[in-house]
Order: sequence, then structure tokens, then C-alpha cells
Amino acid sequence: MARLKVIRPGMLTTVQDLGRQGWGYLGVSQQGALDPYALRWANRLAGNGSRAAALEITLLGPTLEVLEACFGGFAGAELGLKVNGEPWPAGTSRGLEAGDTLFFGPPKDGMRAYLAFAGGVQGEELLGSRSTDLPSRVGGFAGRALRAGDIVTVGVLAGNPAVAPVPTAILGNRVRLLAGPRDGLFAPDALHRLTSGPYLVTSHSDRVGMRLSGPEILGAPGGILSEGTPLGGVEIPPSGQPIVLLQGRGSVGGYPILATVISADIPVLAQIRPGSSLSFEEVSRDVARQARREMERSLDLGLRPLR
Amino acid sequence: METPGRPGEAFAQVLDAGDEAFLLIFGERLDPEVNARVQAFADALRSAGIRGLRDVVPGYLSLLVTYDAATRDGDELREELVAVRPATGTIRPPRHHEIPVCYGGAYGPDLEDVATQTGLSPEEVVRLHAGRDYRVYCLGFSPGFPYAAELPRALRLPRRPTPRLKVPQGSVGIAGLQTGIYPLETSGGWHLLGRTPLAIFDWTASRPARILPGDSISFRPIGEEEFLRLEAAERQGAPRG
Repeated sequence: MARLKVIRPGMLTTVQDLGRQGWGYLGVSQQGALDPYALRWANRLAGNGSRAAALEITLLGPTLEVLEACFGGFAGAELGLKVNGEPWPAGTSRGLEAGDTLFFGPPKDGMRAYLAFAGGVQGEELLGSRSTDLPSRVGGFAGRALRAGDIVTVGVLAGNPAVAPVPTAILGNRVRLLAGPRDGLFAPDALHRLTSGPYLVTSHSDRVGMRLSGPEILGAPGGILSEGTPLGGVEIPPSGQPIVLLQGRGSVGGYPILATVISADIPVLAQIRPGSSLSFEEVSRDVARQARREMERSLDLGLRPLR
Repeated sequence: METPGRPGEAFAQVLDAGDEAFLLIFGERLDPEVNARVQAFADALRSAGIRGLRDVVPGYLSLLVTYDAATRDGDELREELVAVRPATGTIRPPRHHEIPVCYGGAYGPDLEDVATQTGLSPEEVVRLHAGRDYRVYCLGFSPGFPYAAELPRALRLPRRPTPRLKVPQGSVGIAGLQTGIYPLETSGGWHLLGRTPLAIFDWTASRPARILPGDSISFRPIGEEEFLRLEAAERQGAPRG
């Protein structure tokens, strides 16, 4: 096993994989990478299967010192990653030597990036996942975000430096959604108001959800008897200001969900910074199906050798 | 209303919840009978061997069914869901759990306040809370947290105006018509009447949740001495009740 020492932890650096699937009926939160598209690319670049865990980096990245040689894949937003001062672009992989320093300068675009290592990032595995569940304080690295002085353990496998054939972050300020499940509980113009946007993504956003500020959705029922919450669900609390539910959401909730972001646009949500605008477009199931198919097709494209 | 054997009649509606989930609606009002049908259908779905299903999450009146849109076509899956026959009688018989609770004092910091707000004595609050069986409609908020109902009318209060940042593990709370148990130390806005020494959720156990949706619970008042004794026994891994 190879190790990396955390010199500075960055804004919020956690161990994440594709999340805890299938335990919602016990009240267990899904968790996992907020941008599963970028995570899957990082793992492919590192030579891993899709189930391996990686470091999820949020806007301001950590400083890491490599203690033993290893091989890494980096994907997602361009958050200014450098190795010993030399840029390491998103969508590429490379070998790392003992003594190398990974440092994140000013972020260029997007919000989240993933550092994967051949052989995976080690961490506490619970219910089939190494994802960190921050509210429950379990999983990943001691159930919490990385801190200065932590030692992260990764695999020691070597690999061939490569580059992804497409951008590994999908950036935009417009996401597509399907009406429902609870649009029937709202006034007939509620969905129209939601798509009339734009909304501001407020600084109260986190891994649980993106809290928005913009056109109020009026006349929403104050609360409903708790029911399961879909990923990307746009819930409307009594304030009328929507919250878009992300992977860190609770498995059930008590606010009605007016519409749900399509699965192909979940990675777009993960890359939108607080303070930016976000607008919604209602689409059909066919459009959602086609968009997802295109995303899966893109993830199947072969890597190109680096030089 | 339900005619067993006829497709799609276990639930009233299938609603789209994005392109990776359906919300099956079984009823509109709080009703133990509706929730029993939710749980029976959840059991039937889990054992139906449907390809590409990710999770089956019961709510009070509904079931969220999530799937992997990369491997399953939503329209085909919807047809399969409609064709699933609800189990006649639940596959897993519901269990009853008697939960020992040390009420009041440091264990239940809101007991006095609840008594004041409801115009009852603290003893009456405990007698009413502990004096009946509750149905566990679903789990959520935090791993293993049982949403149980219905609380006696005299005890129904809105949530606390400001949630606590730290509610100790095992705290037993009430809000509206619900009562519940905090399995882990988390934040929380319910009125805290007492604490149980029992472990409600164990991440590493083969069956992590002590209480499952569809089960019933009741509360048994205990003193501090018994609380400490049971807590020590739980730490040593006493067999699950």
C-alpha cells in the first residue's frame, strides 16, 4: 500500500465511491460522489473498476505529499491541480513518486474533482460502500472530511499515463427535469414558475442539497407524510424556495417534490458553484432516456495514451 | 378497494420520480392498513427478482422504487411493477419491540416543558406515551430512525422552534402525531421525553436495524439504575431483543 500525507485538507475533501445503494429502506443515506460521471472517469484513468473509492475535492483542493510511489487519475473540474508546480490537467493520469507534492492553486472552473489511485483509496467499508456519510460520521476516512496530518492509504499499482477522449466535467447552468412525482399537489402554474427561473444557488448548499433563491413556488402544501426522496428531486419547503436533493439527502423527506432532475444532468448540478445561477427546463421521458444513453456511450469510449 | 391478483390494484398510482425512480402511491391519509399494503408490496417486490432494481423505500403511504437507468428501460420496468402481485399476508411477519426508556431529567430534557405545554403532569405524559403500541410506518432521517405513530391526541405538539444541534444517541422524542428514537447522535427538533439504552442501529451487523418498517413498538418506563445496567449489557453485545 502507498500513502499520502495531508498537508492542508482543502475546503471539503472526502472519500467517496458510487454510494450505498439498496439501504434506503433502513433510513441509510445514499451518499457517494456528487458527480458520478467525473468519478467514473477518474477511476477509468487510474485503471480501476467503477466501484473503487476516490477523493472528492470541493472547489479549494488539498495539499498532499506522496510518501510512496503510486499511480493516479484526475477528473472533473479544473481546480488548479499541480504536481511539484507542474499542471496536472483534469482528464489525465500519471505516475507519482515519493516526495511529490500535489497542490491545488486557484480553481479555474466547476466545483468538484476526483483523485483516484490505481488500486483505490482505502477506507471504512460499510453496507457495500466506502463513501463518507458526514452526518452519521461513518465510512471513508474515519467518517469525516480529511484534516491536516491525516495519512491516506491507496493502492501501489502502476499504470500507463492516458487522457480521456472527452471532457470529464459537464459544465452548464441549465438542467433538464421531469415533472413529478408530486406535481399534482401544486397549483397548475407551479412547474411553469420553476422553469421560468433563473435561480441563484445560495451558499447554504451542501452535499445534502442545493438551496435556491428565485421565483417562489406558492401554494405548496406545508408538508406531507414522509416518503422516499429521489436523487435530483426538487422539493418545495413552506418558504417556496426550492431545494434540489443530492446524494447526501435523507432517504425519506416531508416536503413535496415538484419535479426531478434527469439522471444525465446530475453531474451538471455537482459542478455549479454557490453564487451562480441555475435554470430548469422540462423535458420528456424520451429526452431523458436519450441523454442518459449518450452519457453511457461517452463513458465507454477508449482512453488515449498520453504522448 | 384492493382486489388481489388484478395487476396494479395494490397501489392506486405510479408517478414518475425522474428517470431512475417511480413513486407508487397506496393511499392519501394516515392509515395503518394502507401502510401494511405498502410493506407487503415492498416485500413482494424484493423477492420478485426484478432486474436493475436499486432500492425499495417505504414511506407512510407510498413506496419509492429506484432503478439503474443505464441497464433498465423505465417503461418496461413500469409494466413489471404493475404486474407484481402483492404478497398475501406479509412475507416477513412484523415484530413487536418493547423499548425500555428512562424518562425525564437529563435523559428527557423536554419532559417538564411538554407537561407544561399540554397541561398534564410529567407522570401523565409518561403514562400516555408509554401506554400504547405504535406502528413503525417507515425508517428515515437518520439510519434506523423509526417514524412511529399515532401519539395520543393530548401529547401532540409542533416541533421545537429551534432544533438542537446535538441530540444524544437513544433519545426518544415526539413531534406532531409521531414518536421516534434517535439511533445516533445527530441534530434534531423533536421534544425529548427520555432515552433508551438499546442500540437501535449497528452498521456492522448482518441485520443493521433493530426495528423494521411495519414492526410495532411500545415503551416501558425504567429507572436510571436499570438504564445503566442495560447500557453496559448492550456494549458487551447482548443478544438482540
